[in-house]
Amino acid sequence: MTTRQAFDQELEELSRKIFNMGMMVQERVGLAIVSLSIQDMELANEVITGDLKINDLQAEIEEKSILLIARQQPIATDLRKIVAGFKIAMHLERIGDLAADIAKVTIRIGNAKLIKPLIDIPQMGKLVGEMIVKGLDAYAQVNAEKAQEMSLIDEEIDHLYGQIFRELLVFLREDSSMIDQATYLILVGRFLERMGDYCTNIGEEIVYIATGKRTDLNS
Amino acid sequence: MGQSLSVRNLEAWYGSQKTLTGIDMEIPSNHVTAIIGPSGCGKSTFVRCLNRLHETLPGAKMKGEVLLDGSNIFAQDQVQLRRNIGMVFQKANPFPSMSIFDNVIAGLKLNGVRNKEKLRQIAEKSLRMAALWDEVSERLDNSGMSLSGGQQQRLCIARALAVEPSVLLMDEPASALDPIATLHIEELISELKNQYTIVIVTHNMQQAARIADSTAFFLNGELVEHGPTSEMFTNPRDKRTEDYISGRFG
Amino acid sequence: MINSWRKNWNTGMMGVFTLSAILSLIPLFAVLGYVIYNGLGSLNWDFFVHLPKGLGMPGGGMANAIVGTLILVALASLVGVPIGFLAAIYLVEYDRSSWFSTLTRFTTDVLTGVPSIIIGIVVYTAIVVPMKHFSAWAAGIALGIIMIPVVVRATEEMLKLVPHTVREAGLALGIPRWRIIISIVVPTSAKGIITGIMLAVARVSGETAPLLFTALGNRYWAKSLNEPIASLPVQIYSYAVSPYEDWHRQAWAGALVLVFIVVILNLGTRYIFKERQK
Repeated sequence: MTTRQAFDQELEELSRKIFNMGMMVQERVGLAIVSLSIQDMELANEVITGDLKINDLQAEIEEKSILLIARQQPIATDLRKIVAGFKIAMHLERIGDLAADIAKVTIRIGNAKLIKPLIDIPQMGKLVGEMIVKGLDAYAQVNAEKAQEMSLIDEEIDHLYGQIFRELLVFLREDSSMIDQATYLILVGRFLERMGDYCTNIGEEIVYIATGKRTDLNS
Repeated sequence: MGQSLSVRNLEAWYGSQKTLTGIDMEIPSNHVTAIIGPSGCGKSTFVRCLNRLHETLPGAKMKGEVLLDGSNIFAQDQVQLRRNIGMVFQKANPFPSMSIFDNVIAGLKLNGVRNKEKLRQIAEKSLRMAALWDEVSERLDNSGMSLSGGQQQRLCIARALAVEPSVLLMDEPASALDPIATLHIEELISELKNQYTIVIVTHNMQQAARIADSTAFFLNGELVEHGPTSEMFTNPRDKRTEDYISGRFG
Repeated sequence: MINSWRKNWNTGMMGVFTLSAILSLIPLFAVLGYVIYNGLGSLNWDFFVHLPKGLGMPGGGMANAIVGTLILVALASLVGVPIGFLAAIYLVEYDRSSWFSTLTRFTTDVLTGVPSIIIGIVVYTAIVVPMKHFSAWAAGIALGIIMIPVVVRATEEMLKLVPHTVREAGLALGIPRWRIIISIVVPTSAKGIITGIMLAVARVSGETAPLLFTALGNRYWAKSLNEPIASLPVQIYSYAVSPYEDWHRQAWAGALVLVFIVVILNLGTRYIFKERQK
């Protein structure tokens, strides 16, 4: 039994909250992509309203972190855990926002026929989901190596985005009546690429918790 | 100006018990170095070795090399050494039979300084440095024991400063004081480091974090880790240090 | 129920303690009362100023005995106080635990218990016999020897009461040890030490037995310290066992004066020290 059981329990709870938030965000991303693929408006609306819940969670985590700092004077690893956890929640919240943005695109496109069946976008979505899961895993275990592996997935996401971009540009040149949809789809690709970047940021925070050093996994 | 201390393989015993095992440490000048560690880890013993006060205990022994600005403290006369390395103790210990004024100049007067004007000047200077002058200038002839705990401790600091040492050792100087008095002392230390080298033993982690430039962590008579305070408290190298400072043991 | 039982027990014990305190005061007040009652009437100017008259003759005083006692106490202090004081300083400041200091402490304790008459006899053999006459010096030395252990013990206890942190503060300032003792430790315990010395003086001013072997007694003024000298205890004794009524009364007066001297010494020192504290 350590001498700071109450504090340890509070740290545990904070970690669990962040973990749950991560799982929730991962689910939302998946649902957003699905809503776009099958053009389900109801699902898209659910994703959009569900984002409020994610924002609430982030506010909760923020408040709890501040209270913990004020009351427990954390130091060294404990302090890094709390501060990094705080930032991870922030990145997760942004990913949540982007998922909602994808759902909004679903609504914009509406029932119009998709210019092409979506293949790369769902693939990107899947990779983002994988990154989030890997990140949460690394977070739970405070494992710097696992965190660093996340950047490999991000490379793939970036590569896929490049592909989508070029493909849609070709479409745009050939058929300018598709300009709306093509632009929206490029945006979705961009959203997913940014989700990947945020995930990499989360990876950096995990490395910081584990080693106390700041790295740049985005390059 | 402060002088630096260089410690090489310092060992100490109390009776047959070894209380310090081969300590190597550099204490830079005009710097506040904090010594932290759990009870019985040897931090007080270490500091008392620096001014050879440890030797005055019956049954106590010390060995090793300690250089004050390059010169070996064992090669000097003990009494002379202690005029260069002053000390403030955990519990304020003004001399009970003396007035405030006499207390401050005790280190000078009892060593032969007789010039009344000089003594008066040094007393005022030291009391000002210790941030006590304003509170006592009207009653310098009152007994030293008539002051509050925090004031008594500042009196002891003034008394130590009056001798004009280059190093000031402080053994948990604020642990017997209330939070406000403690903050006064801490502020004082931050100002004093411009002129002196300060080594402070403390069991209060936050205090070390607030005022020390570097921190050394002692455990079971061993120096476990020593480095800049900012590093020590955000990313310590040794797990034992981490456990201690985050309160996981001790 | 239990509460009132405890209360009663409490009150009962309080009563026992109070009664014991009163009982312990009774002898003191009885003695004082007797001495004052019997002695006051015989005190007059003559008593203080005149020498004893011849056998059986009324009148006269104890002037020489009063002065003699004061002289002897002074001599005893000259011998006993410095030796006792310095020995105590040695035992507390320099050497608390060696075989030598243990031996010293032990013999000091033993000496406190040695009957004073034996000390008188020893000094008689060692000083009076070689000198071939009784003297004030011999008496002073004997009384001084009796004083030494009392002074050592009292001084030692008072010095030990000075917290070690005070000495450390002195050491940390780079003050030499002897200076710390003289200028810091002793002044801090001064009040207690003086009280201890006064106790020793009071004890010694009433000793009679050793004086019988050393000072002997003198019907006249002693012209030098090498002669026998009169003293109150001896004079009181010889008057008290005499068959003369007048001398009995003078003995009571002498007893009163002796008690008075001791009381003045005690109160005087306390008063002086109260003033200094302020």
